[in-house]
Amino acid sequence: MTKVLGERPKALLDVPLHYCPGCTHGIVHRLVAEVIDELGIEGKTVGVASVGCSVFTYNYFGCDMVQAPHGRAPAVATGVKRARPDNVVFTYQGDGDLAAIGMGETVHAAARGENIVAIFINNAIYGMTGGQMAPTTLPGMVTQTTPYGRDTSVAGNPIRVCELLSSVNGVALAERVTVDCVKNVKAAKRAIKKAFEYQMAGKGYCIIEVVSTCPTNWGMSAGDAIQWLRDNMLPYYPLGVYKDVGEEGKE
Amino acid sequence: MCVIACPKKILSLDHSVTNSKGYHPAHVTDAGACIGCGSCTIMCPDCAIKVEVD
Amino acid sequence: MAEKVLMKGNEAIAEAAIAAGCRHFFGYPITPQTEVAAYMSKRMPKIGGVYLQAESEVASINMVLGAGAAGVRVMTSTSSPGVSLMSEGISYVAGSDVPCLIVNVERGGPGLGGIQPSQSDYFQATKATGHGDFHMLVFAPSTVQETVDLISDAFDLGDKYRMPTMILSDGLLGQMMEPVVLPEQKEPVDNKDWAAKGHQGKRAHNVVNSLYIEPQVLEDLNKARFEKYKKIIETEQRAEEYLADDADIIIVAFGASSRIAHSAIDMARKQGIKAGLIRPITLWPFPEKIIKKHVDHAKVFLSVEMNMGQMVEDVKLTVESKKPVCFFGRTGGVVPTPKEVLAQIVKLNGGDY
Repeated sequence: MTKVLGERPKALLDVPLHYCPGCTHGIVHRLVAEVIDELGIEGKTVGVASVGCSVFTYNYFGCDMVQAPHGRAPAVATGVKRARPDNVVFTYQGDGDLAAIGMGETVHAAARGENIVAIFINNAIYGMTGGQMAPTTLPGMVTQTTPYGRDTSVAGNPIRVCELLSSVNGVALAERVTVDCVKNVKAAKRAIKKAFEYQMAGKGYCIIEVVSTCPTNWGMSAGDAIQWLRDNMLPYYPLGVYKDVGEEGKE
Repeated sequence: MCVIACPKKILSLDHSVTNSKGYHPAHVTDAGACIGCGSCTIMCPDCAIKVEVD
Repeated sequence: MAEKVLMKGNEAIAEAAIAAGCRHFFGYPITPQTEVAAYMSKRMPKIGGVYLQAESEVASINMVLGAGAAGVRVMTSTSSPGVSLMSEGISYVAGSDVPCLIVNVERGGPGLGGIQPSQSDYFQATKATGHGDFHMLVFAPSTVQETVDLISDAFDLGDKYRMPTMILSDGLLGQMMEPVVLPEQKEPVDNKDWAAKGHQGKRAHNVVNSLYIEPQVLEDLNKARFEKYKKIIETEQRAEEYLADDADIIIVAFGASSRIAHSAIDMARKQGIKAGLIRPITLWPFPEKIIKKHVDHAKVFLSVEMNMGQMVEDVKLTVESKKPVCFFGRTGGVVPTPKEVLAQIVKLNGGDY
């Protein structure tokens, strides 16, 4: 029996992606689509696209999609979910969208225990607009708007979103994963699947923070970016589960 | 990313080919050594690789 | 159902929306409309509807966008500074062709302004709601009963034309109590094929979006939307005429200031002055046709507003310089009195313009 590995999931439309070489968005899109396929929920899923490099996710995912203003995806998702509680609703957001302009919407959706899944792509930089500082840019990191390296006394400190949200009642799952190697990609997929399952069980707000690369704006090759992620991002943003109501036995 | 992920190191960028996007795509240098682990398919962001395993 | 109930304007807004089949309200408290939200918070759970107090007006309008995109009748209610916060969201709603109702119970501005009534959001509602080329259907009721009736129309027309609609009320109308006949209760209907509500494997996916990165595509979409607006301008203009047919002095006023003008006109007529009123009910589309009917016989137009002069510009455009157009206004929350407006009429009658 011939088994084929690497089939495109049905929930990921056969449309060429526009991402840069070495960008990890494509992997995460595929994982979300695979989870949607495996749970058989494409027909009742509504995705909310945000603003950033991933603005075109409405072209890539096969489920119904709504485009939100920058930062507002959690509020738009709330509107969809409250109107259609039987639908599975997820947002796909970058670090600027979720943690800068959208921080208010994020925290309040989490506090409301809004039954949505937020897929959070953290690559410590603003990709789409050409590489400016993000709320998660590391101290000393050079970006277009921190050309001498991020000076925390002037430009503030990076925000650890999973840690922040873990203190919020209403969060069912806050887990940080990455996709730098096969083992971590598989773990990321398990986390994403858990998040969607929690939504269907009505447990509350789930956020999966995916530590990601941006080779273009980090100014590196794809391979170097992966190494840089391991050497610099993971020590500051450790992988792990920051909140899981399932494990705590709480509902 | 597949190049890095392949445990048998049989993938590399083919500098003799330029695809329609202007990049050198990955290619298999020794198909016989492939163990069908699928690591490449797991790391590919574009669903560009399919591995048939008998 | 034909029974008259004494209701506060703000509460009537909530009841009328529910009667129109709206079961989703997202809002944030702000004076002078907080009663809408408070009333909704009590009523919605009892009828299986959704009331959610959002964390800000920004979040409110985005929740409205989400629910509207998912195909349900949805509304929010706020006051002037809140509409400013919703500016981005309304642009997205319009650009995504999603219907929804926004109620603005106007207060004094700009900035934090005051909490007393004003009409200083006319420009904001009709010309400058948000970035990009778009319009909202804007209704200006002048009584609580009219507010109730227009809300029903706003939902129907919003769905028909797939666009945001606004009820431009003011603090006076929101806080006053008047007898009202509530409309028949309509049940919510789920019939929007374009909505993002889950394709159930039966159709291609729906995308509710306002991003069109190819210039020609975006231009075509804008042009198509404006063809739709052209139809609306042709067919949906509304205004009330009062003693306008033989009037020398025609007052143009909407909402609360129209009621004051009405009293002033009665007083003027007693003095033998031929004054009349054209009361726009739709502010967009502006009721040009009705005003133009009276340009030939009128000697002068007077726009009476609770602002520094906003609708007067549209009156001037409509009159096309054929007759003089004057303005009288009070603002900051000050409400003009019929005597003040009468004084203006007398002045104009004396040829002082």
